Amino acid sequence: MRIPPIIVMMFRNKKFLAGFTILLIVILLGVIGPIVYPVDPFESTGPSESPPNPKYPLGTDLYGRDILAQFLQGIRNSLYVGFITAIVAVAIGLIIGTTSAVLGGTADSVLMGFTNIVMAIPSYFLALIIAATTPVRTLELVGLFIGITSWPWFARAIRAQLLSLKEREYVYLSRMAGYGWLKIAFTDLLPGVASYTVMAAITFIGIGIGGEAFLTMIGLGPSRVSTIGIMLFWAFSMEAHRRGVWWWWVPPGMIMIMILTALYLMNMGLDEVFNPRLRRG
Amino acid sequence: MVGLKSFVESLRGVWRFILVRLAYLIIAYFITITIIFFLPRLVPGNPIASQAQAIIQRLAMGALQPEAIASAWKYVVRMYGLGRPLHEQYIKFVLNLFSGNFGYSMVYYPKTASELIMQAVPYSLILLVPSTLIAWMIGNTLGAFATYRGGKLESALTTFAVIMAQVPPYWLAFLFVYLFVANLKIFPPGEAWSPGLKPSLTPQFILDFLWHYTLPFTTTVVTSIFGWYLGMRFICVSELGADYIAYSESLGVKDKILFRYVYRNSLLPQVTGLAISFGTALAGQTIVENIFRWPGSGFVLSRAIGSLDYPVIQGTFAVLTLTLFTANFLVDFIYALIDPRIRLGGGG
Repeated sequence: MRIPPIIVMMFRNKKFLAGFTILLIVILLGVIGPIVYPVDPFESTGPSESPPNPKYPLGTDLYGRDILAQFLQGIRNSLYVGFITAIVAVAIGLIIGTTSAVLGGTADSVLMGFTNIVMAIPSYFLALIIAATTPVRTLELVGLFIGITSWPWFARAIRAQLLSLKEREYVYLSRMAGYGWLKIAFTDLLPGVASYTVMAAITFIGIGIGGEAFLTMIGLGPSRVSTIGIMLFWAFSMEAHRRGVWWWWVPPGMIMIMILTALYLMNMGLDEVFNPRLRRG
Repeated sequence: MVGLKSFVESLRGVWRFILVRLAYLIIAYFITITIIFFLPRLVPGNPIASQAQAIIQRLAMGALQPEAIASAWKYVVRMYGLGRPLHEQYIKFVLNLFSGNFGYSMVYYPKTASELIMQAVPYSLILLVPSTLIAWMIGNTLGAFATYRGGKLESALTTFAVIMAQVPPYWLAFLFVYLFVANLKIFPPGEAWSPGLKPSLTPQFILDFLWHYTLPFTTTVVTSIFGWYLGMRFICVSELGADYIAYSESLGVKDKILFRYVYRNSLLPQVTGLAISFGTALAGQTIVENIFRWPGSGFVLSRAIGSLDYPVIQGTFAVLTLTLFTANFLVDFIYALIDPRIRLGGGG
């Protein structure tokens, strides 16, 4: 089997490769970490607020719980929320954007009106007011809340791109051949926005991870698990930053910056690969 | 409908643009309110009913006279229109909301939600608006300057910006508190003024206020500058590839003048971005306020969430969205005035 040339070009791009490598390391930390380091992140076994030492590599929190264990589980769970957000937002955006572009007319006006309205409400606050009504929040729910509130810009972009694709000659040919719109959408139109969708999905992963931290820091995070947001929230609630307990809040913040930077680099690289005009040298 | 349509079409340029935007925002606001109303009433366990219950319990524990409890109960039932059909409750809710009545706070009972919110909102705005505008100016100037200079400076600055743009504001707030409050002790532990002082326009109070203001303000500025920087650089680079630049270059227009064209044209999309950024910045600031114990709406909101004080949560959301919509509208208005394509009624 041959590797498609576009994939080869992606991995030849330095920015994409750097971002991808960082993200891969973080994913491995989150997925394999809890298996290699099977410590219960919620069990108070150690001394209170012990700085990093050989027994507790990242120290312990106020209740003597292992911060490294919270950290590894937190990475996994935050990434999971990010992926759910991306799946939900991409699905909604694609459905609304495509329907709007393909059907046109009244359906287009109604769907875009709805999209513009949802876009006017700041998505994190909308997610907040939804989350405030649910007493128990799973990781899936948190990802879902952020996903269903953050899709509008993507739906609009998809619609705009499809509107121009729709006027291409091969689409006319498909119509003349008697294909229905559904078939045209899947065979002629959607492949044309595939690269953009990949980039949007990467952005949505970041929005999901940031959104989880935002909801959690305000007090509406997932229940009974560790996430990057939960670690920061606990550190904040116990005033770790005011008492010099840096090992409680530095790791989650650093890993978040690392993940977001990796995602950003990947998108910068993809942009160069997909838009030949941006390529340098 | 036809009359409306031809009326809108008869309007030109700025007014048409403004009217359409305004209509959108008003509809969006009604939908926002509708969401606030229906969400808690549709989920199992109806938080509004249990909240009315909680107010009564609080009153009862306060050892009120039985008659007083009965009248309070009546009042609460009437306020929320409990037991009435949903559409009546809804109309009541909307009317109350527009008269600034969000109901009583469950936690600070005799206080109303609007009292708590209105006290806090000015503190949020005085933090949000200057910091967002200053970050916008610095970020865009820096972005344009770096693109103009190019070379090593640009690539170093851009690498730095890529990382800095990802720093969550609340994490920088942690870092600032850790460094400047806990360790160096050169900034106050939090709040907007020192205990013992009374808000007034005396130099002493103003200095004290600014001293408290510095860290939260710097947090927002530093965390938003680099987003603008990256955006501006990106737009400038693509603008430099435009045909009119190649044409002007072939005419021998000086680089400096050429870049002035690019800068002006690149600033336009950034003005649109400003409208959206108020919402993002406010979300970040909500948490930053808590870390610095800044008495703004974010502080009120997260306390209300901690105690499930529903009227305050709803009220804060309603007021904040209204504030953001107003900000959006103002930015759109400015945009319409400065973009000649809209001003002269060309495109649309």
